[in-house]
Amino acid sequence: MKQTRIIMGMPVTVEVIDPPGEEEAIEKIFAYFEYIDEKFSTYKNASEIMKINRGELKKSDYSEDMKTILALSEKTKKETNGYFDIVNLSGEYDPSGLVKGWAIHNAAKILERGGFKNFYVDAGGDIQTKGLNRRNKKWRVGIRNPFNIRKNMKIIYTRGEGVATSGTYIRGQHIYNPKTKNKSITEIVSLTIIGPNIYEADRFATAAFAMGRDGIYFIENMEGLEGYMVDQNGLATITSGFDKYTKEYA
Amino acid sequence: MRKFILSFLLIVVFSLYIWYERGEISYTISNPLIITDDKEEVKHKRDESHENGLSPQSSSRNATAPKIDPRMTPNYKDGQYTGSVADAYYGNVQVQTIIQNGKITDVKFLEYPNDRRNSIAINTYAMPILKTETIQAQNADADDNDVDADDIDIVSGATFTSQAFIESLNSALSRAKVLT
Repeated sequence: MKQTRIIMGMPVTVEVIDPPGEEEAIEKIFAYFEYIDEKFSTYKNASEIMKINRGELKKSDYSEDMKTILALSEKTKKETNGYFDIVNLSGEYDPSGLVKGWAIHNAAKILERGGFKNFYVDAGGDIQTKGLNRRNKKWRVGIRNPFNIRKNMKIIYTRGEGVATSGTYIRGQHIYNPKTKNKSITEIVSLTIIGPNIYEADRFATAAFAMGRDGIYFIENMEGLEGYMVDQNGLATITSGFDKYTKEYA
Repeated sequence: MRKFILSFLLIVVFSLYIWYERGEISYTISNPLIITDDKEEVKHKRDESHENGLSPQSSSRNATAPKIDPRMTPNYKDGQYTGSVADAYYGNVQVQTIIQNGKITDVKFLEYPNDRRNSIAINTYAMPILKTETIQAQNADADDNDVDADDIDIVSGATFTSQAFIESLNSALSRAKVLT
């Protein structure tokens, strides 16, 4: 059974293959994402994170999940030399770059504890797969083509890995940097990370994307992560272990 | 006499050096708005990396998003312009654009969900040689006969905020237009 709901401002899709109890399980997952949204949304005035940003909460009153997120954010910041930082430009906390992957990962754990072995959870294009799809094959994940969003530019096959994509879909602009004497600035438009789980993939996808063209090298140097980076010329740069995910029967 | 000529030549050479260096310095000063480059640049061979703004090349692919081509609209006044805050699918987007010599030279996100920029020096990692490929313009399935596009289970992509970006950028650019 597969269902989609808009939560946290994005489509959240859950597909559970094994019967029985799929419907109940999926409802539980949506309820979990609602809980996450209520706590961490910077667009909900009553959320815990907004209370913290307004200085209305003492550290000792932070919830366990909040403390966890803040600690994980600090850890990620160190591991990425500050390229991951939940403090935004206005000086407020916005942990959404880490919360999403963490929440999807937790949602998958909820399903596992419920005895489900074949499913996926997808929140806004960040995915945690488990087991096999309904055809008893690895989950087929398309990576959206940033230049033509109705198409996929790559197909990967996963079984238990997490897939996160950071990117932008902007076209038709010409921007110059006078310091490089009329050469156009090249930047990346898409970066997909495959990791052992979606939490790992997501937090590093956010940081690596912020590194621009260097991001893919950062990923290459991280064990357990593979990446597929696309620049605005449509050229993809691929980490050395990525190809194993492009084979359905590996 | 010879000492005099030698000293004179030395002074000339020195003066030329100073003059040359001053030329370089004034070049830097004439671009005060590109502040991030100077502060962030660490012993990096490439000059064009690590810009805050996303600055894609115009591509020959069909674009469904509205085009913004400053070459078609030369009447941008120099300066720094901030766009309105546009409501994206998940989060707010606000864009700041810098115009120099009538051209867009920088586009910054002031507020952007999920993807943060930081002005921290980049570690130079060992740069291995990585494989590259041109991405498929159509479905990747085009070459793989076994896989049908309909059999894709899930799609991984960035969360949609591009419309908001365009919206905010447009509003910044409209503020940059010269009043006639």
